[in-house]
Amino acid sequence: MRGVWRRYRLVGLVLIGLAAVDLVVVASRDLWRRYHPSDYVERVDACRRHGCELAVIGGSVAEEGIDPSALVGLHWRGAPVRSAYNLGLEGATSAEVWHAVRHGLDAHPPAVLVYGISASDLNDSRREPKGPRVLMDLRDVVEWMRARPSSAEWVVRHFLEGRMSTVWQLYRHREGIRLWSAVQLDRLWPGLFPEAVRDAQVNLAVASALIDRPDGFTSRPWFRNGRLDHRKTAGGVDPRFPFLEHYRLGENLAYLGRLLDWAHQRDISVLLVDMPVSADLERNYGDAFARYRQALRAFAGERRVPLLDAHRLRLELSDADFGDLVHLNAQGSARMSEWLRGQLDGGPAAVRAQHVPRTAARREGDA
Amino acid sequence: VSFVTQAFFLFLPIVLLGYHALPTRWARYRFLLVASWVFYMWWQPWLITVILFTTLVDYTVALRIERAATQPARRAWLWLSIATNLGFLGFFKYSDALLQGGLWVARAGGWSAPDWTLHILLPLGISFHTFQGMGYTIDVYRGRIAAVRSLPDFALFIAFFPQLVAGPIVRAGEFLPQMVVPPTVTVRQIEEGLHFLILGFFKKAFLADGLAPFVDTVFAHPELYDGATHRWAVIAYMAQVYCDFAGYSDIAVGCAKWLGFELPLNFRFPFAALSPADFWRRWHITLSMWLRDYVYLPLGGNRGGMARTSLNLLVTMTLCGIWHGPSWNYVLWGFYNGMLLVAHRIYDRVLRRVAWGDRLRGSAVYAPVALAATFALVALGFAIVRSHTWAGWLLVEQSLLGGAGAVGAQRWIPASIPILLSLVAAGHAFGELGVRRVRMLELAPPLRAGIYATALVVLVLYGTWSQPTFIYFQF
Repeated sequence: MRGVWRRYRLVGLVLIGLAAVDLVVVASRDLWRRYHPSDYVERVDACRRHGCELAVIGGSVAEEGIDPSALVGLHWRGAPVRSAYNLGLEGATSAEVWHAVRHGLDAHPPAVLVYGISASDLNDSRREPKGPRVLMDLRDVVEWMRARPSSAEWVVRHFLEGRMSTVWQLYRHREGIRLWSAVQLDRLWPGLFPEAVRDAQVNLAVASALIDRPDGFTSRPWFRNGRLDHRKTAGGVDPRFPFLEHYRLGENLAYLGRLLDWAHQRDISVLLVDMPVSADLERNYGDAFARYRQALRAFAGERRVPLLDAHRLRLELSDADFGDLVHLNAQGSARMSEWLRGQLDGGPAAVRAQHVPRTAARREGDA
Repeated sequence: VSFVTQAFFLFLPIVLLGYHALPTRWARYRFLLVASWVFYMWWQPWLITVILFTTLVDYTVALRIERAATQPARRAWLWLSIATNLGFLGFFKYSDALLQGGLWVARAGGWSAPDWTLHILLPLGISFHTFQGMGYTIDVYRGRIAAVRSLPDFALFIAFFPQLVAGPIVRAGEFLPQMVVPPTVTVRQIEEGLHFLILGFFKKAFLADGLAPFVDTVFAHPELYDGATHRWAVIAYMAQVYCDFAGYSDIAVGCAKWLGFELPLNFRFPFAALSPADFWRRWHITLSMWLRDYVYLPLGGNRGGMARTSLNLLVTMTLCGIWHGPSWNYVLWGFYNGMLLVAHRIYDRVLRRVAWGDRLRGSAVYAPVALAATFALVALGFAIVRSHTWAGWLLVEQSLLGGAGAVGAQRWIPASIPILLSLVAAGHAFGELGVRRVRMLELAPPLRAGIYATALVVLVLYGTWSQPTFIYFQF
């Protein structure tokens, strides 16, 4: 043994050094998480911790657009909703939304699920690596491989990367440590790493909000304070929106079906809310939105799930209510949340009466 | 596969495990050959045919040269190898540029030439493996080495994955003898391999990629920035190219050591050079040596007087520039470096016979002044290569000569740039003070382990890992 150590002493010492660093990193992991919260993990954990009677789910459109505090107090099935939580996940497709619901809400299911959906949620051409990295378990991966064999290699790779990063804590918390050190250096020499310090401040605010706010509504300043009309005037709006490129439907719609099955088994009411987007986005991707709305209406009709149409014209939203092409700003989300409360108040019967999609209504009429 | 991709971090352990698990020399080398071809085909599978064809030609030619009865026959076989290698290199690398040049001349002559481009994909590493193949057949022709009997062994020499894409350019006389004995990896090679791998990744992912955004931004629009920013950008570009290429070479050397092979070092602290000739003995050493042995010396070297020697230097260095790429920037850069070597040679000869000149060279101030002068002259050359337009190049060169830049231009020097550059300078200072070529290997194991662990931590935390390709891939 001593001979082996003598031969491989250098390699052994390097490994010991890295292990020692990892111990230090683990000891301060809460600090690193505050500087770089893994939004998916933190949100699902916080949602599981807080519990709620009404959960808002979806991608960043729902995350930024629906303030759950506006929904507290509305009446659902004859009783007031006492707590609401926004589990919107930035960049998520319906697959990630399903996995977040399954892992975050299974222990304490809410009474109502409000899915703030948008066209990008159902685009099969996009994949969000954070899903397999932090949300999915082995069963999810196997299901994915069966349902989407063309991306089997992708999902396994990201799943393994996610698992392996938990082995090496330095790698796992590298972003948090990087931002923390940038802030420390900035205190000594102000202006040294301005971009990193800005990122750190945003992350700290989001992390604090996740910890302090029991409803998960942590709107980012870029969207909250921004105005699309101002950005357009300044010429800072890229008309391209990669999340809607190469629009394909099918696989994510199937995940939405799984979510409805899961909710049905637990007697949870589900409402789909087709979220508002800017006129520019709808014009630039007219074909994608037409196909999305047609598919969503058909799906909702088939599954007899209420579909609320929160089109910007219905809500009288203009560019002044959007932070960018797709996300509502503070003013827009306040109007959206107020409108949604008005639609939901009164319970499922009231919603169903107004918003069962036409295909289902027609079928019921025919029957 | 690029060294700085996830695929490589999966590829290398699999190759190492497979290679060392196999029992015989035959099995190990065949496995390594297949792994090397897989490594290459990862990027563009069909381009492996170029390597396979040139390998077959050079292998056959070398055997034929040995068996040829007459000198003309030997020479004819050699020319077949040179024509094949240069033919492939010329077709893939220069045919599009030649076509564009022809069209430009036609348009200048008043003809309405069509807007043609050939869109030829440059096979990775073609500049390196063709030189390696040619060097081999020339050495066999000169009788310096015997032709290899085993085609797979020769194919491994050409395709050995650590150095296949961007060198170092290995000589057959250096590599093939290592294949005779069964491959074993010593503890020293494991330790040195670790050293070179960590150092290589540190240079590439932390230093080179950390400098890249600043360099790219300034050179994209030099008219927006002032003279001081230009000067920092040129120095940053020099450090970026050095760290990028030396980083690749170090990773190649480290991988080779873990497979039981020794590759030549490609860089030796080039910015500590005291003359242009010294710079080229430290920068891309294997290319410099290749050009010296297979171009400069056959042209006559320094045997024909000052005028002839100067012409040989200019021709060799201009060819060096053309090797780097089919653009006027590289031709000019090569010629400029040739001029530097000629000027230094003349100055050296003139001062060598003068008493005060010898005294000056022996004084304490000579080395710092020579270092600074060499650095400044080399920097003027780097600005030629990096500039996108002649106007931008002139602006940057004026700044290097003390200009203030365009009117109203801004100064933008991010804080990270001096920090990264000071690390490169510290590395040069530390390395140059040592007796051995790699001074860090002299340190006590606990101290080395601490340095390596720290470098790995810095790499994980602050490494960019955003540019999977290396600058020298384009050559």
